[in-house]
Formats: sequence, C-alpha cells, structure tokens
Amino acid sequence: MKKTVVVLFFICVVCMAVTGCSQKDNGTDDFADLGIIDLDISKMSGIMVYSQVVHIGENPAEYVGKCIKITGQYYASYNEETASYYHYVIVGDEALCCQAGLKFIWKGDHKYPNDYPALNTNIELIGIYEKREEPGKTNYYLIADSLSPAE
Amino acid sequence: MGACTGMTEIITTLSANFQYLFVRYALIVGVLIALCSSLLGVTLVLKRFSFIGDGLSHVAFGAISIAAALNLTNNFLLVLPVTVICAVLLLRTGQNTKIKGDAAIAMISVGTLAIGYLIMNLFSKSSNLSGDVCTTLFGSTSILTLNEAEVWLCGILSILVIAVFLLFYHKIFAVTFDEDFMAATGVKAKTYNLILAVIIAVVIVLAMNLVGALLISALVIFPALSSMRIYKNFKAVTICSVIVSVVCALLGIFIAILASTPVGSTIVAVNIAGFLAFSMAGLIARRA
Repeated sequence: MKKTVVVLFFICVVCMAVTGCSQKDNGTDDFADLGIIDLDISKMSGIMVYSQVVHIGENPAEYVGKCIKITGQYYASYNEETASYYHYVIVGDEALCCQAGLKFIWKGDHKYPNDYPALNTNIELIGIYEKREEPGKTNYYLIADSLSPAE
Repeated sequence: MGACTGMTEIITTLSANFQYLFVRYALIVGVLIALCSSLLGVTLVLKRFSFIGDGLSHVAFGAISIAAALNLTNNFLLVLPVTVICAVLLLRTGQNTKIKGDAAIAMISVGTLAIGYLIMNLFSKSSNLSGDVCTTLFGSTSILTLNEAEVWLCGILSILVIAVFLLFYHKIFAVTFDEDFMAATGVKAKTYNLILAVIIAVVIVLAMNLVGALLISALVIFPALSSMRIYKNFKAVTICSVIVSVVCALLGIFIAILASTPVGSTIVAVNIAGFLAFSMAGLIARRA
C-alpha cells in the first residue's frame, strides 16, 4: 500500500512537471478557421508533416477533392517518356532523415523554368487534390491555385 | 494559472492531432506493442537475456535488407520467419552448444547488422538509403506511417502474443525461475522455451515499428527494471511493467508529436525518466 502511494505521488509530480512544457502552436487556433482549407499541412510540426504527406501518398483516394495547404521545398524533374516536367513539393521530418513529396500542377499558363522558382526554394501551395488518368497509369496531383515563396 | 493554461494548450493540440487517422493508428499500435514487449521483458530480464532483443532486432534489420534487395512487397513474409528461427537458435545456446549465451547474441547481432547494411548499399533501389536505414534503426517516424493492413497485422499478432502469455502464464513463470525443476517434474521445458522464443521474435519484429532496431532493448528492459524497484513478486512486477510501458509509450508518442522529436528516442527517454522516478520511489519506500 505504502509503495503504491509513493508511486502515485511520483506520477503526480511528473504530470505537474509536464504541464509547463507546452509549445504554443498557432496551428491550433487556425483549425477553427478552416472554412476553405480542409487540410493545413503548413501549420503542422515536422514529424507530423512528413507522416501526413506519406499518408496522402499511400491513400490518395481519401484526399481527392480536399483543399490542401502545404509548404515545402520545390523540386522539378523531366520525364523523357512523356517529354514533360513534373513538379513536386518536398517535406522532411525535423531530423531531415526522411523526405516525402506531393506532385503538383500550377494552374494557369506557367512555363518551366522561367515562371517557376529555383529548385529547393521554400514554397507554399494551396490547391485541390485531384486524380488524373494518364496513359497507362493513374496519377494524383495537387492542383495549385497559388504558389508563393514561403518563409 | 500558468500550469492550467499550459495543460489546456497541450490537450487542445493533442485533440486536434487525434483527428488524423495515422495518429490514431500510431496510438493503437504503440499501446499494443508496449503491452507485449513489457510482458516479455520481465522473463527476459530474469533469465539474463536482456540483450536478446538487440540481437534479434539486428537479425530483423538484416532480413529487411534482403527483402528490400529482393523487392518483396511485404517484408513481413521474410522478416518474421528468419527472426523466429534465430530466436530459437539463440535461446538454446545454453544447452550443449559450443558458443554460449552472450557471445552468440553478440556474433549474430553485429554480423547481421553489418551484412544488412552492406546489402542495402549494394542492392537497394531506394532514392533515400540513409533515410531508410535511419528510420529502420531508430524508428523516427515508422509508427506514424503505418497503413491499415499493417495496423491489422500488428493488432492480430499482439492479441496472439497476449493470449499465449495468459494461457501459458504459469509455465512461463516456471521456465523463468527454475527450468531444471520444471524438467525434473516432467513438464517439457524445451517446448515452453520454444514458445517463448517464437513470441519474443514476434514482439521484436512488431517493436521495430515503434522504436527501431537499435532501441528495442530499452522497450523490453526498462519497464521491467522500473517495476522491480518497487515490487518483488512476479505477478506484481508484470502488471506494473505493463502499465509503465504503456504509459511511457503513450507519453513518448504525445511528446514526439508536440515537440517534433523522433518517436523511438523520445519513448526511450521517457522510459529512462520513468526508471529514475521508480528508483527514487523505491529508495523512499524502503527508508519509510
């Protein structure tokens, strides 16, 4: 009985100590303002950002039609088969141990490389996640209404 | 007042994160893995096999490397059987074998780790090899990137482990404390050692998703050692170990999400803090 009381006392002390360890997360205030944006990845912590993007990549059908806001590094690559450029926004966890990305299409008449930022620039995208049927495969893209430099 | 505000902010942030399916998956699997590993931990610590978790996790890493080189879509099909076989071989090292206990574990542990890394470097088609190795070894984000099939598999295997432990509780107790007496009374100690080896292997393979290959021993050892600071009988230590392990795993995941730290290392750090707290509590209880 005595041992159990001592153990419970220590658990209470640990809980009290942890109450001072909060991190102000502006994202929690903005969750109430998600009138347009269904999923604001830009406000998540590093580990959550990476995990969320991996989840989107593995379960794309669940996110079709959703408005997503994301910040990450811009990357582009040329596909010789389709003779076109593919654009990506890349995110990583805090340790930059792991990286994942989403393909995106920037709405409007934008030409690579003149209209696009330099590679590895931090960018912010807002757009709708859509499914596109292409010859031989199905691809999922974030159809970005806006692309702007991120801080 | 400050403490209340801080606690409210933490609860609000965590509640907001619970809306994400992959977070709920991580919590479910994390709790199940912590539960299973703590059940086995007491037996392993008492049998002086604390480092077997480390050895088997390195074997699993080697098997994962081979699976990646062979382009297997589901590496569980290779990793689980290979780890089970090695567990059986390692746990019979005390019985008329030329290479004993800790030497066998060390040999298999470093050998499979080195060969696994070599195979990944030579044959892996991954674009981020160091990231894959880092995730497998340290479990930085693995628990947060589980899909539904993996969650179901972890759930079923965890329930099997718990069921086996509960069904064979008395036999596991006997084989932990006095294997020779058990054999002398006609009970097949070898069979129960085999069952133990299989469930240890299953738990190790599952636990790699939570803390990675290098930190698994902490998940197995620390809850048992923490409980032993306070309680002295097998049943009480086991129950306390389960509670400590589950609480530390949950706290570790919450802290990792809030502070954006690697999940595996955070869980181990919380376990260490728990061990220190229990050690102090044990000291105070003995002096009181």
